[in-house]
Amino acid sequence: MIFLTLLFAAQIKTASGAAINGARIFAEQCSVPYCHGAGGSASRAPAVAGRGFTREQLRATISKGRPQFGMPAFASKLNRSALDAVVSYILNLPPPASASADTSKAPEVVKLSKEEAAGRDLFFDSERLPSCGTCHAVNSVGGSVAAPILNPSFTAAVLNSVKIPGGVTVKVAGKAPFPALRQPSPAGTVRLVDFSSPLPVVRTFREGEVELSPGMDWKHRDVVGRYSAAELQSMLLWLRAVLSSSRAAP
Amino acid sequence: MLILLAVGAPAARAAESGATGQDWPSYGGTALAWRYSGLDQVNTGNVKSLVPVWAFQTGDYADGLEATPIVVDGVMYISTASSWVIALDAAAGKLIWEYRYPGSNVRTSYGRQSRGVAVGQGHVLVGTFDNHLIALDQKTGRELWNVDVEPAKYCGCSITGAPLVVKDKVIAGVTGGDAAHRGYLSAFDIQTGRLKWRFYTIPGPGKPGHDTWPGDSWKFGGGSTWMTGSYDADLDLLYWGIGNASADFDSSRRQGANLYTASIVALNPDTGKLVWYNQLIPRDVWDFDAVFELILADLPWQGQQRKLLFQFNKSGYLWVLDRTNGKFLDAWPFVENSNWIKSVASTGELVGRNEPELGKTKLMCPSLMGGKSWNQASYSPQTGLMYVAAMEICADLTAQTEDVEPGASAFGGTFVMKPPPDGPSRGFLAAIDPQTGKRVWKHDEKYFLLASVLSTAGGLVFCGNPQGEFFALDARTGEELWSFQTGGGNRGSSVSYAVNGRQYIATPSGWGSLVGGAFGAAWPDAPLPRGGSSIFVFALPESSK
Repeated sequence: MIFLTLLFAAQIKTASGAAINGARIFAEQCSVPYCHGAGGSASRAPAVAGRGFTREQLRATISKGRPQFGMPAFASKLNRSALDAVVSYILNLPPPASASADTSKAPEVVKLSKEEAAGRDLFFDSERLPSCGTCHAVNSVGGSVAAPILNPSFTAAVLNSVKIPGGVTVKVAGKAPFPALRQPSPAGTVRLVDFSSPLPVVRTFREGEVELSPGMDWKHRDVVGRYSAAELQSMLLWLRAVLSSSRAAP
Repeated sequence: MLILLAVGAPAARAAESGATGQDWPSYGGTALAWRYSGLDQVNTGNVKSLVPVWAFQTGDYADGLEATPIVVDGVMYISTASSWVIALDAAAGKLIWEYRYPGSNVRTSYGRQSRGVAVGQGHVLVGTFDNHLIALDQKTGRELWNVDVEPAKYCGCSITGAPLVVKDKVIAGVTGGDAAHRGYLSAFDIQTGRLKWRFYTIPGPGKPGHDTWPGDSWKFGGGSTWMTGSYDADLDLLYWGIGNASADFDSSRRQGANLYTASIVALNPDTGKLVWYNQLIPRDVWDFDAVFELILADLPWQGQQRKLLFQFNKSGYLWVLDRTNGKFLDAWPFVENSNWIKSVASTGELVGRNEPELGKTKLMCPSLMGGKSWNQASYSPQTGLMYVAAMEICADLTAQTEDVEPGASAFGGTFVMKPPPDGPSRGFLAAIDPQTGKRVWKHDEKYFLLASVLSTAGGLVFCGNPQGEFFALDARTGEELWSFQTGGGNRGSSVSYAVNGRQYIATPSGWGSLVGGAFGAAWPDAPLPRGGSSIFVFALPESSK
């Protein structure tokens, strides 16, 4: 009990003594343009305030950086007391009030081989639209107009044979008909994913503005067919790497 | 009849110039981006009587308010940091409709900020913090279409700039230039949201300019399009500024000019095809970009009337190009502390580049925050002067090589803000002669100014500061004539418009944003500017107009 009290008192002293110094170091080094924001509330880099980090975690991360996320190592910039001061400051920050502060866990990084990384870049290639990632998400990264990809055991043959149920052909007065999928719609409206564009468009019409007929001329295999067998293989390699739990990084 | 002319005449002039009249129809006022109102009811003689007539709290307070209000036919349209869109009665401040964007809690690489909407053909268009472009019904605010421009969690990008309507299309840029990302500009059919063209700011294999990128560096070389372009209807050319190359401070893996980063491009608005380009900063290693205002004005140049294009760049230089062909005409420094180059040659070439070095720390002026930020300058044809909100701040910059994932931050270095060699970090508003680059007057500020500048035919210049003061200066002398404490730091762009013969001046109030959040990095001992998200609107009292 005495030990605990002493420890507590020492921390208070450290915290209050270091807080001023730590606040200044944080303002100058961490809330620089694009990084952790005023009071650790996040801007481009994640929020650090109120995240429940331990002193050791903060000390290690600040010293070594997180180069894969663009955070530099500060070991050569902050001496021991400066590091302690800024760690104390962060530990004492209240959680941010900002609605935009993302306090979610940082994404896990799976170390990819060169081939797997090439597959990922193909999956999301913004120049070959629609890309797979235009419509589908993998581990919540990607488009939301089609089902997320959960199954790592796809083959090229399976991808080519995917049939999309519920497709419709949409007629709007005076315009060319277009292929679409229905989405849940607010009352009195018809919400559709227009597939006639390289980037699908979620369009909302008033009931009666559009006429729907079953079936559409947009086919999944037309998109899959734009990739070579080797390219499909490369994307499948990546999917297996990130969707099989054994590869997920701790 | 005379009374009618007092407000009616500027509207008539607006058609053939960049001056606005009753409306403030586009981001930069008109597509020529002068940020100049032809209204003169409020003028140097009566501005001291200016009073607030209404204010509106958006309810979206976390990240400040950066928008340029758009005003069309007596209705004001603003967007907030969380991509909400609000339509207000511009004379009374009453809510007409609001659209609260239901976007996800996505990690926002560039922070939540929205610099405004575009209005055209019955549509209100807004880009979102998670990289969607959305069209709303101008009358009701009902969502008409919604496009995911590129998955935000992959590209680390967002749309913070106001879109631009050109004919039957809406043009939208994208952030991502400080990350491992390849930038582009996209054009969508305004009625349907269908993608019509995409211009890649980094040419792909086989395209001219691709050889300015070694290896795979072109795939992740930055070149974002995060601000709003300008449009010249007579030349039918769309102008857009392109952002910095990535990694920002480390060019060891991108040795080459890095086209078309830090360039101004002119595109065919129907096809997105490149007509000309001028790269202001080849192989940018300072994070200076070239995305800023593109002021299109026809002025005498060495005795001959020419179609010119002006940009106050983050590098602290005002660039002048011939906008018919992109030819370099001149570039002049508008800040006092500048050591990143020695000068710009008469050919446009940068002379005496002082580059960041791997593992070495160098004091660089201006800093990566720039000699000015994105907040836009104004051109007044009445005084013939341009007005820019600028700053004197430097940074200790250390370059380093980083391995990053696609979409992740790729700065290639670290930085600590430092005061300039000649005094404390500070801001100012300057009047510059656009034909000589000479400074005519300067209004000093204790801190940086991150609000855009508005000039008016009333001989006035308006701007606001981080302490919350929105102020009016005499456009000819810089003398402060009026100010009003808005409560929140000024971070947006003020506009002027008229409804039923009464001239209004409107300004957003509420501090926020990445660079705004870095206030403490430059002034660690000063209180942080106040947040908020409000519109304040001023006019002369009814009795005196």
